[in-house]
Amino acid sequence: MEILKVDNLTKTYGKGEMKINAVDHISFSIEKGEFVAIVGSSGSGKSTLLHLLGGVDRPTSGKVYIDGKDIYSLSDDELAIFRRRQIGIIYQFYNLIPILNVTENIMLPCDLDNTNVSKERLEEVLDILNLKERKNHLPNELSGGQQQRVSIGRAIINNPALVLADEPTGNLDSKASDEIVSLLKMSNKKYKQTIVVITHDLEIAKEADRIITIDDGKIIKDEKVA
Amino acid sequence: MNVLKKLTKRNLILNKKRTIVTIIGIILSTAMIVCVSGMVTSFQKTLINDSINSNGYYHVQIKDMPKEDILALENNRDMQDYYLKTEIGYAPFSSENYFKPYFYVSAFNEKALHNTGIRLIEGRLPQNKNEIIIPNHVIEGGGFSGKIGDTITLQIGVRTLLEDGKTYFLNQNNPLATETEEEDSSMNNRSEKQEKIIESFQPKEKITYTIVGIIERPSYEIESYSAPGYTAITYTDEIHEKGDAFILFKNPKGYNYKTINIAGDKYDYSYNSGYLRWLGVTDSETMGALYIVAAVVLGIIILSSVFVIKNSFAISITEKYKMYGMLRSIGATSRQIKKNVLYEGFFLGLIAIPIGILSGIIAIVVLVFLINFIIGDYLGDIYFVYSIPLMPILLSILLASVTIYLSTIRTAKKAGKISAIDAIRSNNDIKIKTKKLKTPFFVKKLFKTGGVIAYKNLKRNKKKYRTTVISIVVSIVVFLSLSSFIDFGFKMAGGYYTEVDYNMRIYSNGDTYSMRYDNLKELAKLDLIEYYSIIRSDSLFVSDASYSDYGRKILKLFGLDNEENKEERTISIVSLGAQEYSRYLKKIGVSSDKKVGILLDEFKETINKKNYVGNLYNFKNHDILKGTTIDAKKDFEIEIIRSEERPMGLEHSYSFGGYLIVSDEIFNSLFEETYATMYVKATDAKKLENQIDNLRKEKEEFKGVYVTNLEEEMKAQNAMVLIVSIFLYGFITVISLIGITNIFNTITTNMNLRSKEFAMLKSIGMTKREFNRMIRLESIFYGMKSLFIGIPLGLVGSYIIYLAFKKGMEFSYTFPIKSLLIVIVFVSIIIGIIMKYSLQKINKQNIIETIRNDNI
Repeated sequence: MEILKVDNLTKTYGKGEMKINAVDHISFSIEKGEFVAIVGSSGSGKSTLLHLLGGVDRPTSGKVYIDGKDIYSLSDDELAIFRRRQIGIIYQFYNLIPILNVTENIMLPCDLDNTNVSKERLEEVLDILNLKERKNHLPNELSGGQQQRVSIGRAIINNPALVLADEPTGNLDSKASDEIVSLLKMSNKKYKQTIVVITHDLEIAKEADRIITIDDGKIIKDEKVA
Repeated sequence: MNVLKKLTKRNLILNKKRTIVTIIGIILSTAMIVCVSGMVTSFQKTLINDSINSNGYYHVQIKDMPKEDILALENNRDMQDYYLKTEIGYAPFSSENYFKPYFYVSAFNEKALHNTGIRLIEGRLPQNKNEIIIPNHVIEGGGFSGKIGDTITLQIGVRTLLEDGKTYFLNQNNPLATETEEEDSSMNNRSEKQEKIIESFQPKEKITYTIVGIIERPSYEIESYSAPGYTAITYTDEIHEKGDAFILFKNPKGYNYKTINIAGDKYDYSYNSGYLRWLGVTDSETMGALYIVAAVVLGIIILSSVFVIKNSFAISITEKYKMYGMLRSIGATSRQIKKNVLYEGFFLGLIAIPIGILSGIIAIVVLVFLINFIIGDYLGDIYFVYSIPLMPILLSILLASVTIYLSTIRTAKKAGKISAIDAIRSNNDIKIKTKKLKTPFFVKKLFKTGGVIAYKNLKRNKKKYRTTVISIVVSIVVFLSLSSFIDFGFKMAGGYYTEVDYNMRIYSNGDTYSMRYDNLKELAKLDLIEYYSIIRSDSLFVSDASYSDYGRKILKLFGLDNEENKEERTISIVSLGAQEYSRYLKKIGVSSDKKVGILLDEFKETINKKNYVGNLYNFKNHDILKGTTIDAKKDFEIEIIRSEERPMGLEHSYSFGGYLIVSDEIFNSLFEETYATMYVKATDAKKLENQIDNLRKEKEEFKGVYVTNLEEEMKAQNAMVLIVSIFLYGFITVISLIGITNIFNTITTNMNLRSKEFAMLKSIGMTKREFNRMIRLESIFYGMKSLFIGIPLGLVGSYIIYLAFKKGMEFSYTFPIKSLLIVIVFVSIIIGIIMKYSLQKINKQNIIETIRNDNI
């Protein structure tokens, strides 16, 4: 089943001679339960693409369908609501709220949506992330790896249609990186969670089911990993 | 609790200092709103109380109602209460006041005695129909000699007037009926009018009363100025065949319709207009003016408050920019973010508004106490009361809420619009172009690299920097304008007396010249008089004086510019009394053995709202002025000396022909009889006043002496000015405090937001000294710019206030140099304190930690 479909997506910055196509007429689609890595050198447009997939930014032209829905036909607020229900985003710099503790940070999308998540679900997530002991700590009391695990928790708590991760290990040492990658992999296998990871680390890319390589805003390679 | 509310509270607690400062800002503005509106209601209540005291606690008096209609009042639904008064009749007595030859006796019931503005001076109210109270003006003006305890027998009767064969009964609304007869009085060629009484009195019965009390003159509604009978009041507890009803409605609104309901066109009625006016149910200029002033003041307060609170929220979202962006990226709607900011405002208001209201109420109580303490003595019967009814408080809550709402809504909208992508990239904070940051070369030369960075920082943070500058500017402008207001107010109120030497004015009235003039010379010998002048003045025709252009203009205005009436041009000739004349000559340096006249020809006048100031004549010193006395009997010639110096008594007088001051001898040789006024500098004005009062009682010839003690007036005016100063300086202080909270918030947060940058500067090797210097320069730039903008604007404000005052009085603009210095010193101090505070905060930070700290 096709969960994500990108159709002729373009994002342009600047005008006239300064014009840069950060994403240049890209089309592809992702099946439910796929673990996709998007790789490319810095400046290739992969972060822009991810933001467009997540409905955080708006494209210059083209469409993005998530679960069959054209997300850019939504208004800003509808898009925000769609985001908190259907998309989980993980950032390189965690972007946790410093004055909320681990549990509160993880529960944030549900709280914003005024939806209740069962205690079991929260316990389960804390368990998977190995944060049970830390659930009442504030972000600045955690290591980088732990903080990133919190942000993974926040991304998956709602069982979103799509989890997007932007260089999730870019700020971590190799041990913590391994942990994060195996967590993502695990949630992909166990919950059939569709995941798109942006990375320049080929080791991580190798863990994916499929690698899309981008350069200059265009897909130059799209291959399944055996 | 909702996660966003939780976030708000934690953020507020985290930024404890800013939260507190913002709360203080809200408290101050709420307190000010309560205080201003509460003072208006207190003032109104005071006036209402005073008018109840002196005019009575009723809305309308319906006259001459028959018994059955009075009884029917009980069933009137609009009415709260009524009091009754019944006419007994007129009683003649040997009055010294020609136009008031009667007592007018009426009987009041218990309620009427207490609620119609009757004020006992001594004794008690009547308790039965044989007791009576009389007003004090029958003793002082009517020459009635009864005292408390005396019994008097009055011949009661009615006044009638026969006209065209019909007999009319007269009441208190009909002045004494007289006829005017023209009689040629040989005395001074003026025809004098003689009044002859044409009404008659018909006696009915004799009643004996015991005087039990003396009251103050009743209100105008009970005894009008032209009423022919002095009000004497006895007691009654029955309802007579006919009587007046004083009616108090349940609700004074629509009092006129309610009155017509009762009175129709059958009965006369008169409203208690003083009371109704202060109740605000009829139009009143005083209340109107008061409301306008209050509205303007409230406007200024709300504007400055909106400014502070808005700024505080603007800062708060700048700090939380990234957080909001993050919340947006994980799916918070812009409505949620907006609500979050509004909630923050609501929460702050919840804490600050009640405290503000309480402080405002305390301020009102203190101010009312101060008013009574400082000017209570001069207000006579008026005693200031405070009134804190619900309305001003509800109004304050409403206004404070509106203020907070207005302050937050824009910020909230802005926060709602934060785009997730911008926040994540965090590239919105600094959107600047190189061109904008160009620094004038002198900055580098003068202040070195530190200065350049400081300057560039100000340019980059233009908006935040503007907030600070505007806050300081607002305070400067308010201070300069209002201190000028106080200054000019002082000039206008007290100025008239502060520039004069005398503290007492004495005038003697009488039939003979000796009573008018010699009396004063006699009084001048009293010990308590330090020095004095006796001003006599008369007119001299000057047909061929050399007028200046200004003089001609004035002649034209008075219609004396053509040849036909040049005979009517006059100059006032004045003598000062020997003592003041020699003192005056000495002062202007003229030898006293020469026969000269001193010309004071400056003339000031406001005609048709235009001010005229200038000198009337082209005379030079030692020119000869020729004139004729107004009876055309004597010609006169004198050498003149011009002067601008004015003698005692003529300080603020202007005559449209100017003044010519001459010695007593010359004056006496020209005029035989004229009126005189003595101006006195007394060592103890109060004592002298009493002394002269006693003389008046003891000696017949001093009977016509009138004393005006200006010391009391001056004191009263100074007290008034003091009260106004307390109000205005209080206002300035609070507005400045609100401004300071604003500055404090802006500068300290700005320093916080830039801490990373500062850490970087330090890490690349900026020494602590260089760094401190940079921060200091930045603060100085702030201060300088504020002063550069604030001072000219403040001076404009001060000049506008001068123009407003100038309409009422003539004086020149004084540059508020003192206030200006205060402003400069004060701004420097504030800037200094803030600077020090920020530095302390920054220097405490650890470089590495700050740089590494990339949390939101």
